[in-house]
Amino acid sequence: MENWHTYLTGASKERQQERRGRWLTSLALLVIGALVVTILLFLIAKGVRLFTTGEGKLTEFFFSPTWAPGAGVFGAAPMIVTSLIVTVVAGLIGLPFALAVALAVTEILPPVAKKLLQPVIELLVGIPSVVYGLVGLTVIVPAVRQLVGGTGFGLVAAVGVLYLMIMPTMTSMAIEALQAVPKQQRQASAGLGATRWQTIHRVVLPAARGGILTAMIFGMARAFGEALAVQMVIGNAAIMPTSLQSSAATLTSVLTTGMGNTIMGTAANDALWALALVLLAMSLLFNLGMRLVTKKG
Amino acid sequence: MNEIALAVQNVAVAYGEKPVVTDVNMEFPAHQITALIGASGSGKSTLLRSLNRMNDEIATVTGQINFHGVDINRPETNVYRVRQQIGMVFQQPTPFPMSIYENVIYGLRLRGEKDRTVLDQRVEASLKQAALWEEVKDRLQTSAQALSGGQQQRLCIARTLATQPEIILMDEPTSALDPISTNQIEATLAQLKEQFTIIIVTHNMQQASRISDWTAYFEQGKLVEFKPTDQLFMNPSEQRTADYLSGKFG
Repeated sequence: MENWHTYLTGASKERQQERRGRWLTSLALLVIGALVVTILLFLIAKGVRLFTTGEGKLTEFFFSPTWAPGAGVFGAAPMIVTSLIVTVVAGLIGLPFALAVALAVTEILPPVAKKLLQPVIELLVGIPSVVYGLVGLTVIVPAVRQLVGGTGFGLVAAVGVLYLMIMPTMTSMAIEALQAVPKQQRQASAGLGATRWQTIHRVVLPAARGGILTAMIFGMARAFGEALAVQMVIGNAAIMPTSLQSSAATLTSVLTTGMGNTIMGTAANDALWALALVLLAMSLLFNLGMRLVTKKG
Repeated sequence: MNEIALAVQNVAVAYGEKPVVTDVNMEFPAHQITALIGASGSGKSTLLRSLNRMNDEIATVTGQINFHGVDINRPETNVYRVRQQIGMVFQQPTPFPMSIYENVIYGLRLRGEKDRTVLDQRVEASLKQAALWEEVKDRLQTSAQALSGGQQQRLCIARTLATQPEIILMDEPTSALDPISTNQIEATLAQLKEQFTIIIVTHNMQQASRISDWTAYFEQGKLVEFKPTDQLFMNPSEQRTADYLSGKFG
């Protein structure tokens, strides 16, 4: 080699490639970061307008049970409560079922079952929410009407639709969490004389606890943010629910029904933005919760 | 020859259509360490895992495995009780996600043992036997997964000892460990044979010659030679054994 110095330290295709790659990825990161910050700032700016203009008061917004934008009363409590109820109930009902299916697939059934079930679950995850809403409208609402009376529209129907919607997601995440437990752990447990149930209950579930909780929170986050399917079956009455049959409205369903009917800059419009801000804050909380359980697990 | 702990008759193991172990006959002497050696794929681990039915649902095991005069290789056998009597320690240390204390009494909990004094005693005795007590006695309630690899493996041995089996099967228990941890475990094994019968699979010929009383050499799924360890190493009667021991094969 004539000039080792230029050969080893001079300009080269490799170094140029690396520099270009770093530049491109940094740019992408910057764009995404800027997007997130912009959305946050925009939502906050829009969301607090209701209170800065003096049209609505914070205490009224969070605690008043009356949502009457036409009359200038902006109590979001009914929607916040309804959103929380449908989400939590759907999540709590969904988890045992999702876990049972996941355990059957990973621990009990032969491997072929997983091969068959996986595409089915993926298909269910991919179905658009409007289809779930349609199923809710044509199957669940009439069923609720038959079984518990009333119109059929309301909390029960919304919970039913959300349950169907988040089950596949929760199941596939629970399957992943269980599969992440090393098979040596199961063998070691069996080697000590444990039955399959003892191994599941004493070793596999504790080891997968973080992942399973994440699956539940993820499912609940999806339920909390779902607008269309819920709006189709919940009855859309922005009142504090008094029973599981009563018609109600969630944060998202009020947003979708109201957004087109208000004029930018009016108090009614600002109130919707305030609801959106609450939604965003809740999503952040779900995210935080997920981080906490994965760290612990 | 002393008392027989486990007798294997005409045992063959196949994964699907593929035979891995063919026609093995041998008797494992009680309170001795028997080493199973051979190249990778010689079937020694597969045979070991058949001895306490760990191959159920994985492979087809035919033949008889006699334990106290009972053929345990039959469908009606209670495999959970078999594994309580014939415990197993694996290649990778596998501490469960719980405290050191709970790890050791895992097998006892499975049987519903609740008496605190019994549990406390068993924890101390087992950890002492596994030469781990001094290192962990002040942190029994901390997570077992924070231990070092060698400590984890000794914990797994203690966990098996705590169930008080008659026979302990070990599948290359030191191959994932450093030389110091390996020494500690080998020293532990020498102590344990007074109380237990030990059958150990090892890739390490020196280890077999150091710790075992009997050695069985396997080649391509067949038992080639089974003798007291010093005789097998000094004076193998089969040419194939001699070749393997001198490194001409495997």
